[in-house]
Amino acid sequence: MKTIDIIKESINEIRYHKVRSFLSFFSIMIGVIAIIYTLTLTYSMNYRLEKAIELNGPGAVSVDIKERWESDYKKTSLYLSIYDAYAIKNSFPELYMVSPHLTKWLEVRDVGTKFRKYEGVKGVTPEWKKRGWVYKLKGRFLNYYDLENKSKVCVIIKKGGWIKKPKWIKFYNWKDKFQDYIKHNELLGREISLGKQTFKVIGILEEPPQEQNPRTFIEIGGWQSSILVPLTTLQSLKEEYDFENEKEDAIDGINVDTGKKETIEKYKRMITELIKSRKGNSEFLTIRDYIEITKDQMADKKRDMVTVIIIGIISILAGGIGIMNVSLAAIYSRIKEIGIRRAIGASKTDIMKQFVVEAVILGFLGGIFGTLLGIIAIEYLKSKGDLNMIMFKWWMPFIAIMAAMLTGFIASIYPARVAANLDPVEALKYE
Amino acid sequence: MIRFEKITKNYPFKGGIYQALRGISFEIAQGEFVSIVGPSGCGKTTILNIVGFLDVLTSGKYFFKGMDVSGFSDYKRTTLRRKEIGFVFQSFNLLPRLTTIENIILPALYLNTERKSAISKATQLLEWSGLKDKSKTSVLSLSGGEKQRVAIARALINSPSVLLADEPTGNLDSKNATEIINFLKELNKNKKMTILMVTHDMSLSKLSDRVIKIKDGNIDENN
Repeated sequence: MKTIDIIKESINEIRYHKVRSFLSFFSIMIGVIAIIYTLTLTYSMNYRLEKAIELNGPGAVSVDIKERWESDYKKTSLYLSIYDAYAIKNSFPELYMVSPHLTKWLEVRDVGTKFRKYEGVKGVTPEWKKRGWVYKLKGRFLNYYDLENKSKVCVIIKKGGWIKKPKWIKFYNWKDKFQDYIKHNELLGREISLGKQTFKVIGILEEPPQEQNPRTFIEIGGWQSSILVPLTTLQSLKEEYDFENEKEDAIDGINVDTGKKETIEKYKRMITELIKSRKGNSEFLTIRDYIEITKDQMADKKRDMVTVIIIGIISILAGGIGIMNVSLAAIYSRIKEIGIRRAIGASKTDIMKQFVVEAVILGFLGGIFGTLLGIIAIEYLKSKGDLNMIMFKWWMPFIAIMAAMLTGFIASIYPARVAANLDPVEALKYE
Repeated sequence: MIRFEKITKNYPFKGGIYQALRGISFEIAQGEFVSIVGPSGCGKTTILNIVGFLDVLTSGKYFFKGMDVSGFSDYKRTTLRRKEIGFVFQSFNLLPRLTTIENIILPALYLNTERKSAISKATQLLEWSGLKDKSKTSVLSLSGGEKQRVAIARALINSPSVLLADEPTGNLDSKNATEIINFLKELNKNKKMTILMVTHDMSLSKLSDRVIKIKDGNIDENN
């Protein structure tokens, strides 16, 4: 029998047994929804991981002090200094980036206005811009002249905001006062106070909107400082109690990019050796690569994903078992029919094909309906601000439908064999 | 056309063996109309099933068109059945979910005939059987006589060389029974179709060219 005729026959059967067919494809449908959700989440996770690594540099390494959050570390002899960063740069000139950084909390005031707020001010070198650059620059960025002359200049990072604000933001309505201020006041070229010193705003780094900002999307780096100043300038500020007795050349850490994933381990070892030779000890250091850091950040999400995958597999298995059960039940109600078909010329293969095609069609229908409901669910989650769901791709339903059809196919093989192997003489006698 | 040589057929039965056929031999020539008669359980239907390649023999030899088909595989027997055999049953055995024409074309579809040409052939058969206006009717709404005519049309769609009829009038009243027998006679006379009919009605069997009487799995009479 031609496949098209088998399909027509199978559609007739499915239409005739509406309730039985509905129950089969309903379970498949649930499985398909779970598959689509899982695929979207998996794709999103991988995309985030790749982008995070791409944005941070494939060979990105972070050199930090273990006890970084203990306020006294800059007062002991075991601290990281800007000279350590220079030493790394000089010893390994082939490194793509060596970016030392330091953060201090200072009171920010807009000169001539009442605005004042404590902000984390980050001291960096021009190397900073080599990685993670997602910005549109207005004015200029910090340069080596600023660094050498400890210029009192700063660059402000303006957050991107939302193209379409998700609904959940309304329930989490924390406002960054500084960001709110710079949103409504053009600071480029103006002077602001950082602590007791006056700085000129020489550049504004505009982030893309949240939905398009890979930095937000991939959730890297956590908290981000909104004000960047030359590292040397920030080091020279000694006006708060906490900064007393602090080593002037101390920094918080160094971001290094070896340029290649393969060389990470080599440079991690070599940098450790270099610092050890300079300080006599490297135990106070922690050197981690970004792949490691990003993977840590993704670990929680991965656990969620595994749960969803398990639910998806169970649902689709339940669907498959449903199809198998329904097909087996169908055989017993169709024994006579199988006998008649065999008597008028159907081969064992024809009988098998008919049961398999019926199950595959049920899988296909479950796939289609599951996909439609899955897309509706994804759109709903998107509207609720689930950024993972933005990563839904149009090829995902095809995979889900194929999986549903495959489930139907596999689940029908055993019942189809049972049907095909019925003795036609006995089947004809069956009432 | 059909030759049975000492054919036996055993069935496992309550731990033992039930011998349905005990070494029967007969021959049917092309274009013959032969009736097989005998009491219930004597092995009439078993003969029909073996002739129609639905069942396999236990021992002996079965020649079909001069070819020894005794040891044929299920696949080979199915292929032969499709091309050479048409079955007509006592209880019609139409598929209830299909319309009249869909039932008739089914064997042609199993023979991989194009649906279009199968429908055209089925339409001719419906016309011949006087059911042209019922082609799209559900078979459930047909009368007994009409159902059997549809079953005969279905048996003829692949132009088989042998028509096997198992008590074709068993479920019909005398008027419809006569009509069906006339149908079969016409087929045999005009189309030279070989017909093997199982019946317990002696008056019907007299209408055929030859009667084979079966008793307890053996041939009792063959004339």
